[in-house]
Formats: sequence, C-alpha cells, structure tokens
Amino acid sequence: MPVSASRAASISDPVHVVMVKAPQGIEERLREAMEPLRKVQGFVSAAVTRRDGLVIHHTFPSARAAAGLSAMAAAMVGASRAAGAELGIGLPTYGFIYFEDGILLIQDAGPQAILACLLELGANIGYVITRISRISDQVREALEDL
Amino acid sequence: MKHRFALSDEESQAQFQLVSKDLLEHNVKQGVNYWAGSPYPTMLLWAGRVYDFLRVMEEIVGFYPAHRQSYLVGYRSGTDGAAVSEVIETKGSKKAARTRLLASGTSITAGAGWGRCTIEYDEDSGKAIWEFPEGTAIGLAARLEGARTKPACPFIAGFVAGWTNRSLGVELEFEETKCVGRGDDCCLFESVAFLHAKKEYVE
Repeated sequence: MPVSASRAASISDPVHVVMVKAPQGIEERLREAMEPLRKVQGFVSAAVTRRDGLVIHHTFPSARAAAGLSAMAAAMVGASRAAGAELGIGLPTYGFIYFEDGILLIQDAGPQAILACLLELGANIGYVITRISRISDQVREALEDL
Repeated sequence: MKHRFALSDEESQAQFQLVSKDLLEHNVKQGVNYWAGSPYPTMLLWAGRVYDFLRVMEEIVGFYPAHRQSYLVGYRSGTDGAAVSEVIETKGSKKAARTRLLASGTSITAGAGWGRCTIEYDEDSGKAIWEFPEGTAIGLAARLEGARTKPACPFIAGFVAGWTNRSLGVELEFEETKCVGRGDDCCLFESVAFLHAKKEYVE
C-alpha cells in the first residue's frame, strides 16, 4: 500500500513504539545504576537509549520528552562516529554540548546503548563525566545480560 | 495454533490488478495519482530510491539511527494500511477478523509490488515471521547497487511490524534476519523480544 495513501484512515502516533521494554530485572538494574545521578548537583534528567535511538530507561517527566532526546542522541553519536572515521581520529568517547540554558552530555554505554544526560549550566562537568563513566559501565554490564 | 498465509501466482496477479491498477486513479489536471479514494497523492517510485534514503542517512548517522528512522516510516505505513483494511475484515469473531487482517498483508505487499510474502504466526508463542522468498523490491534494488553487509529493508521491517501489531493488537518488534541485498537467499523478518545491536553493524 502506498505510504501516503494509507494515512487517510488514521494517523497513528509513532511515540508508542519509541519506548522499548527492557526485560524485568534489567529495568531494575538500570534504575539502580541511574539513581546516583539524581544526587549530582545540576542534574536534570537522563536516558539510556538503544543504539538506534529507542528509549530503554529514563528519568524524564514524560516518555515523549525522553523519546525525542534519545533519538537525537543516537543520531549525534552515529554522526560523531562517522566523523571520527572520516577524520581518522578513532571513536568518540563522550561529548557535551553547551546550550543557552543547559548542557547535554552523551556517552557510549557499551555496544547496545547510549547514555544521555541533561544538566544545568552550573554543573561540574568534570565530576559528572566521572560519574557518567561509572554508570555507563553498569549500564553496559546490565545490557550484556540480555 | 499455528497459521500460515501465502498467495498463489494467480492471487498475486489478481492483487496486482486490484491494488496497483483498479484502485489507482489519475487526476489529469494535476497529473497526480490517488489511491482508493484517499486524498493523499500516490506516486510511482523506484524501489532503489527508498533504499537510497537509508543509504544516505547511514553515511551521516550510522546504521542504527538510520535504520530506526526508516523503520518508523514503514511502521506508520503498516499500521495505517492495516487500519484501512480493518474496515473490510469485520466478519466472524474478533479473533478471526484479526487473523484475516494479518493474512491480508500478503495481498497488499504483492499487490503494491513490494514483494510476495508468506506470513507465519504462532498463537502460542506469539512469534510472527514474514518471509519474502524472492526478496523485497527494496532488497532486490539494494542487491543491484552492490553487496552490503547490513540489511537493506528497515522500511519493510517497520511495515510488517506495524501491520502485524495493528492486526493482532500486539506490540512486536521485527528484525530483518535475512536480506537479499546482502547476499541471502530471501528477505526474512522475524519478531523479537528485544532488538540487540550487532557489534559488526555499529563499527
């Protein structure tokens, strides 16, 4: 069926497919791994996303907010990896972007996932990177057991 | 209980006649086609161009993010396509109607020229498999472009996921486990509990 024509009957909301359910046990481990982040000064929200951009776990107020960030974070990581290859400078380890009203920090969390963390402008980036690196390892270990 | 749905050569030809000819209308003033009374314009597009959407995105953001975007577009097409067909499949029990709606996916993919497929569904395990023995149109187009190591049809994977989920009222995710675009003998889409990223596709 032609794509556009099929939309005549109903417009489905793709949001319901952008949140994947991690198996029980894994979800709990991800929640525990992320918990220390909440105590970091300047922490706003974080999401563990699959490499294709689907949210696995998040601390955002709504799934929709987490879904958008996760899709973009996956694309940023993908673009960064492509840039690294193009420039011959290897794989990216982590990245942070300063915005007018916040900071976005993204780090690989193993072959399955990416960790995206939203911070306030005054956050201590060096400290956050240390915490994030440790949490990324925990996320990687949790997802290795899938 | 296990179900298996497939089309004969004659049925495939009949669906092509219906879907790609009888239901297609041409607006001579606009020079635009419309399908089945839908207000949305419909156009003929080389399957290779659909593949190009994936390939171009892959070069920029990598396989998995590109895969997801293509999958989502296909997913919406599948859910909405099944919603249109759902109006027709109302006879019998709700369960029977759901199964018939799933089965009608074979008619649509063949009739629209996307590829002739068989659908298998195991009610007990909840597992669903869509197999295109000769490949999907996009997979065949990808093969003409040269061998690739990753599957070429996330759009179709999304479509079969959307069609299956809308038909059966489930939330399955599909993985393209075989693709003629990378040298496999068919295109195979299997439902999975959780789609794992493959290391060789990331690096």
